[in-house]
Amino acid sequence: MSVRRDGIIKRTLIHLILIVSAIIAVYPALRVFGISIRPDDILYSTSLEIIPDGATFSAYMQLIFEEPFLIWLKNSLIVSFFTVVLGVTLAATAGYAFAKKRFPGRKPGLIFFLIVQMFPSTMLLLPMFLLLRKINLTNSHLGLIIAYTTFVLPLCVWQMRGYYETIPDTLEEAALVDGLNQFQAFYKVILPLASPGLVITALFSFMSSWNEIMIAKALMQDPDMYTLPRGILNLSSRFNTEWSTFAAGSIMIMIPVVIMFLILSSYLVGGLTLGSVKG
Amino acid sequence: MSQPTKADIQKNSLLDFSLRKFLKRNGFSYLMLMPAFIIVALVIIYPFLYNFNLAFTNLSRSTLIDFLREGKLHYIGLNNFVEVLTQSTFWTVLLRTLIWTIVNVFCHVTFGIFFAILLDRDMIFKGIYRALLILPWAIPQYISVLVWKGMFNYNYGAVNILLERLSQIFDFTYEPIAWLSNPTTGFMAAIIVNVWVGIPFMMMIALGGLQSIDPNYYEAAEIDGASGFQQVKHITLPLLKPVMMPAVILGVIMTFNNLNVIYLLSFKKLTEKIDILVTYVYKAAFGYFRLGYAAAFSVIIFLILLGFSTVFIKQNESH
Amino acid sequence: MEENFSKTVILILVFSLLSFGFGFATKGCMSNDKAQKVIQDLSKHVESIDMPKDEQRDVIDSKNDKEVVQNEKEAKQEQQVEEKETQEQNVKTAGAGYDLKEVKKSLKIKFWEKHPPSIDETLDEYIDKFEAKYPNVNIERTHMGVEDLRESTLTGYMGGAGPDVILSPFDHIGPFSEMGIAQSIGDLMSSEMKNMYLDNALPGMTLNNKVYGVPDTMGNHLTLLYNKNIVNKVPNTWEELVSIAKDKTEDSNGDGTPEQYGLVYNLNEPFNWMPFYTGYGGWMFDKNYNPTLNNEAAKDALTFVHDLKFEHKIVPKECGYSLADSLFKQGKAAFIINGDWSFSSYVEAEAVDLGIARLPKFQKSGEFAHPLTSGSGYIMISERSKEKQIAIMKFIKYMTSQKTQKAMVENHKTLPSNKKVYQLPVIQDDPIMRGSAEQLKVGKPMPIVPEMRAIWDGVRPVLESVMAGNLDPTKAPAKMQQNAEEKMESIK
Repeated sequence: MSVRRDGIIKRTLIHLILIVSAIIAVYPALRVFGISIRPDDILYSTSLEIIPDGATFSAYMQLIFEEPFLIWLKNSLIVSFFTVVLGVTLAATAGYAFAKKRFPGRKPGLIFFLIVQMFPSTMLLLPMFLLLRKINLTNSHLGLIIAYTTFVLPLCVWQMRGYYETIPDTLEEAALVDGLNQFQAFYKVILPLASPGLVITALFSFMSSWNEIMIAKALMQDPDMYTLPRGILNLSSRFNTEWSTFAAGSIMIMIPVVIMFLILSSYLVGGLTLGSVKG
Repeated sequence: MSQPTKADIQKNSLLDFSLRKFLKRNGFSYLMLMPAFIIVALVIIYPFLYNFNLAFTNLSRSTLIDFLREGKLHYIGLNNFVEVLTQSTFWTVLLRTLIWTIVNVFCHVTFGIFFAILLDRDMIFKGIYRALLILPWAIPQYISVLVWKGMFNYNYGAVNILLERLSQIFDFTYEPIAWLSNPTTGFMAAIIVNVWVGIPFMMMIALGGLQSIDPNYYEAAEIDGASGFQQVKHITLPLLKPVMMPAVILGVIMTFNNLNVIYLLSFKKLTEKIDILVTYVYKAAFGYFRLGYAAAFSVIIFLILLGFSTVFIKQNESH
Repeated sequence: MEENFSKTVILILVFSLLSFGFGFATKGCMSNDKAQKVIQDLSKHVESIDMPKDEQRDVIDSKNDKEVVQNEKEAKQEQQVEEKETQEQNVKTAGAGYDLKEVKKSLKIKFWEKHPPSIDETLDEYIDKFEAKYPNVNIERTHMGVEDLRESTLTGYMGGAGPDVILSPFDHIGPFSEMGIAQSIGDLMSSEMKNMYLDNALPGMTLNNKVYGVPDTMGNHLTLLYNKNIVNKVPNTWEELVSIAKDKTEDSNGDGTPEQYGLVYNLNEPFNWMPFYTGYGGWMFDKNYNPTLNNEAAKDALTFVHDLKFEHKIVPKECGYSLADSLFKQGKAAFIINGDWSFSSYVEAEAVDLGIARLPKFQKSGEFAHPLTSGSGYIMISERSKEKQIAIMKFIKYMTSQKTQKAMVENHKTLPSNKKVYQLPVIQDDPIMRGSAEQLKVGKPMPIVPEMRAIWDGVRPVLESVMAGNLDPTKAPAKMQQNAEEKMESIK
């Protein structure tokens, strides 16, 4: 953190810039909210107001009670929860190996995880669909969990690796000397220290699976298995978009992630860069 | 482990000896690594290879039935690749994608570092500003892009309304802009939206990087009489570079392959006029079911990205 | 405002938590429908309706005091028609007649459809009645948008968990039959069932001599709708309409954006441009289904729509479907070009006193603008078990029976496929239905061949450019032709 003391003009200017930028950052979200409480599906008005006249929560009522919102919510929760569990576990272990151990295939392995992120999603959607169909995992939670975990892993592995690298080797050596085997050293000593990194990985996994729509659209045809994004997509059908219900659904989808982001933002700042410095 | 007899050692010596030791030394690592690797390999590698295979076939709407019923595929060699590369639209779209990526990433990094520097000081509301500026990353793109699409509406969009109000306050002439009717302004609108979406990521990485810069550097510079700008130029930026490098690579990949913004903004407004590579492929695959063609196209996109990353990493490894 | 915000947040969180608790037990119903497409000539059957002559274009007042008398009349007529029906049923029918067989097993049928939300309630009501009648069949209805329905049916079919029967526009039959997704059901229908429909209904869903679907609503046609609170004169020609609309486009505060427009409609949608094209005598295919878009008629049609915006300025500068719909509903537009799926929502709108008329004639050609007509119908997905097929046929028959279709007409103002319904007062005496049928008379059936896709995709980008002012309308037809030809190649 720089230790300079800024003059008052500079400080005011900085605050001004930040305020304007913050408004720009937040306005679209507020606008979605405004649409969700607007009465009568009327989309257009020439005001910049957020709260329209006659604001009502009827869209939320309709969403929760008349649409299968609860089913979508259930599906999203299941899929996201297990994606997080699986993602964190696998990234924690794999990242550790990459960070602390030297073994043949280490460098290629890292590069592999980097390259894998370069595949355009269009490339993988159809074959993935066919593959899952063969093993009967389309339209199941498991299929989606596997797909999401896979897409989330490469970045998470890199992330955890960076985090582990900031933990001095001496701690591990001490643990080994004390008679713990490798796994115990990992589990009892290193892992707790890396918990901020785990939190970030969890957040990232959750966000990716909770918000994801393309894969959900391709894999889930059975309406009982729709996740939240897939569900509200149906509300935005071509000509007659039920704007207020769609907006209400959007707000509901956004809330968990936004709240987590806000709470964990301090973790995020530190965690994303560690390891990159050491490269 | 029992003591091996002399005979045993002689018999198995080279093979067993190194294998066991090898496993003992590295077994744990592989064990830790395997689950992640297996999943990624199966779920990504297998489709990748499958896709690669499809690229050499003529799978399309007319041949789809045979494929679905009996798994029959008709191979046509490199025809798909040739078709992709000889289409003039491919090169236009490629150029547009390059411009898209370069402009976007440049803005992402610049604004990201800018905001990070602004926030990297003791100030009230710092937490609030940071939290709000991160928000665009938390919102699913298919929601935020649709909202932006509404905001770019000619008559009732927030952007034009704001511009009009500003023109009244600051007294300049203003003609409403038909953002989503014109390819040029449409492309600009798409870039604005994508920049909005992408700044938080870069900002957070830069913030983290700034935190690890030793304040002593700044103090020393201050003593030497360096101005704020000079400090940024000579201390902050160079020290941020190693931190931003991986982020830039990731950013390039994500922007290059970002389907959502262009697809949703141009849907029914600027059909096919501001396509980048991935949206073009998506339409071919899922709109027209030209699956063989789309597979070949995807492979080409991948190779382009691969080439770029290799060059980029090699160039920066020397530093 | 902040307080409101946080209150809402808390409310939503609480609701989410509570809802999650109930989530597992709940199984919701969904509904949303959409209009559908093309049929061949309806003229014969539409004429059988007792209609006022063409010259009499005064629209009659909506039924208000007549209702009581009408109800009695209706009940009597219905009775008569029903008696006839039971008589017919007693006649033994030959043929596979799956709709007459019994459903023996307990089955669940997945039914996907694209009707607008308002039609949901009616659909659900009759689904419930069907399930009551056949207790061992359970129908699960899901709504999705048209494009989504097409894509998802395909992926669903490939993935094995797709729908069993869908209610979709006629033109989905083109790709679906080609890909083997649609089941040929002509031979599964009893002749009794086949006789339920208008003569030209089933042919509308027939391709290569195989019947792939059963029509449910006919029409999907664009008409000229107007708000009687703003304008009362119905124009005979487009030129008249333009001058009336000019008069009704008002910008009272002079800010460049009119508060009221003479005409609104979805400017960039090729489907909406077609009536102009056909009105100048154009058609999109030759008899071998090659595109024919580069001609004088296209030039005239493109110039005309271009001028609506740039020359006469009676339409909003950027006008998509929701804006047009929104403005008209709020009473801010005199005329709107929209289809039969929107009628009921306009009848309900407070600011609108709905009038309906034919799209006018063009002076140059002397022809009416011919909207493309089609419809929507039930398509059975192939490779279902025999029991399921039986259940599905019965379901289709029930949903297209006279009672169900009558309710659909009453609630949603769509034209039915069941020919008996046309004799009922619900169509005869309702000015909206009459007007709709009038328009249908001068519509042209939309081709349902897969090549149609190339036409839509070829026209769309060019139309967008013309309406944005980026392309000269006289140069555009050549571009449309070129586009369409390219697309034809790529959809092979």
